[in-house]
Amino acid sequence: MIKELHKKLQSKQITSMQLTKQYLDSIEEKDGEIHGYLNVLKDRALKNAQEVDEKIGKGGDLELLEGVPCAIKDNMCIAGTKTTAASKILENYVAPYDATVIEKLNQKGAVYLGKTNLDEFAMGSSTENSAFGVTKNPYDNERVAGGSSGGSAAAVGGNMAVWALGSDTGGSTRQPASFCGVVGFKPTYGRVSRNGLIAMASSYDQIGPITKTVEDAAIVFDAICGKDEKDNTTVEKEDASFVENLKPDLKGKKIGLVKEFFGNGLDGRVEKVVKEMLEKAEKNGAELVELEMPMLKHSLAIYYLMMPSEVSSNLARLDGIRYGLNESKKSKSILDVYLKSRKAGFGDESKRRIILGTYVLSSGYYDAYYKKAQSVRELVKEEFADAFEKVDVLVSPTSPTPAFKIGEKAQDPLEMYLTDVYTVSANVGMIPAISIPAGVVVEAGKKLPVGLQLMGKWWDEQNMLNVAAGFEQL
Amino acid sequence: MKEEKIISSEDVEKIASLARIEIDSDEKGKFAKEISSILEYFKDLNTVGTSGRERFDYYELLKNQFRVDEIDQIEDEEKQAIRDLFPDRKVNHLKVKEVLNGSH
Repeated sequence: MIKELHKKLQSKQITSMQLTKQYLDSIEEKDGEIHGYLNVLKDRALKNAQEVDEKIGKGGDLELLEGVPCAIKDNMCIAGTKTTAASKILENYVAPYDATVIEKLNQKGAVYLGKTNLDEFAMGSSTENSAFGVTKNPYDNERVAGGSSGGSAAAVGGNMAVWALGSDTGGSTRQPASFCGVVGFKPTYGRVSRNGLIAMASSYDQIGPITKTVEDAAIVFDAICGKDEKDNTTVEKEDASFVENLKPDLKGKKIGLVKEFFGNGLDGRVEKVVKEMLEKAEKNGAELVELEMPMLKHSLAIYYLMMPSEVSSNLARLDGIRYGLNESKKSKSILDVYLKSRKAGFGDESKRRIILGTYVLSSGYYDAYYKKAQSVRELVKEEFADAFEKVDVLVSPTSPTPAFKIGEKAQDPLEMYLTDVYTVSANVGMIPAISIPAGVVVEAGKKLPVGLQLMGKWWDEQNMLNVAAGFEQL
Repeated sequence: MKEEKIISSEDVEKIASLARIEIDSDEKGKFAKEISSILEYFKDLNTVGTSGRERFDYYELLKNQFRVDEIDQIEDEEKQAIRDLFPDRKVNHLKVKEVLNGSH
């Protein structure tokens, strides 16, 4: 879709201004109901679109993303604009600098339509934890758009942005993408700089694209990946362009079915959609290999133990002192400022995770919990390493169910956590993974999208994207 | 029989104060119950033996990466944007409540 728009812009069939206005109108028309955006950057978008049009007028060559309107999850900093992470504690925080991904996109001439909704600090699977209201699913407004990048997925799925950036700590690009019928891609840990991404769980966080097609995901990935001095987990890689090397490829590919991911808890209708897609892949020359991966079932426990630990540490910086919500007027001492600002600023899920994380990191419990989880995490990685000696990619449903109803799981945190059961393994293993639309299930007359997840070997996004593009053509 | 909690309301209160979050009394019980059920779920990990083999050949992020410890100059404009976020200030300085109560 991006390439097509790029050609139209370059050949003057449309202007970036027309395209941007068209999307702003779409937001105006639909977003009152869907609430994918927290902040629409209308003036900025129009100004940037005009600059691109002036460049085209002078006969300039455009980058692929230049002049194409996109949306950014509101946990990434755009200098001079509000960046809230959907938290009251950052409700009035104006980012003083650009995230590295934004710097890179600025160089490519991207046009930002606005900042999208998320679960507070990206902690959740439905955007119900946003301090500013839930995002509704564009396919059924009684259902969630998924999370935590629910706003970004709803914006792309609801045609209110051509593409969007999300972040993925335990499935937060892939699960909402599957619920909203779009592509969500989490690269290998270390591919994309997190400088300027508001940190949640640092050994898990990764930024990734949410797009209409696999090709679009490759285009955005090309633009944002690479080594950054400001994020020491990023790694220098001599990769050629992912989009230039993208070729749909299923013939002779060995596709591993994770047996444990097709068992208990999987909605039979989702299983049917995914199995049908796999049968088609087989007819098109792919070889299906069933694999037993007993370690993977521990991923959820590892994740929900380590993640709050890292959260409790990362969110400690939000204390009302240098920026953010400050309850000085209600406080007598500086300690009071911390206690009251954090009480008023954080929602329930943030508090729950901070308390849980503080508990498991406390002296006497650290070895039994955090260290144990870290050791099992290594075993999960070993299991992935063994698997990728036998197959090219692993496959599973993205989520055990289609989008659930708003409020359905909000009362039970553990039940909500279980919706991440297929996606967290890739974050635990630090491998790349992608969700692509596989089909729909029909419920009460509404079509609800189902996603297929592919997981690839460390740094081998190209192979995974090629197979994903192959699936896309089925 | 009453459901036994791994952590009590008192534990939650103590941990919350260490984490610098004030919580209400009804929240204590709620968090104790929810967090106990999550901790219960973690018991799953105790079934896994972790003394076995370890291979490190598959992932290359396992070495420390260092940078030179030097002062990074930032633009005046960005400095000002950071100051503008201060909840309270005196000229260019961040103003906070006294740190050592009454002990001048």
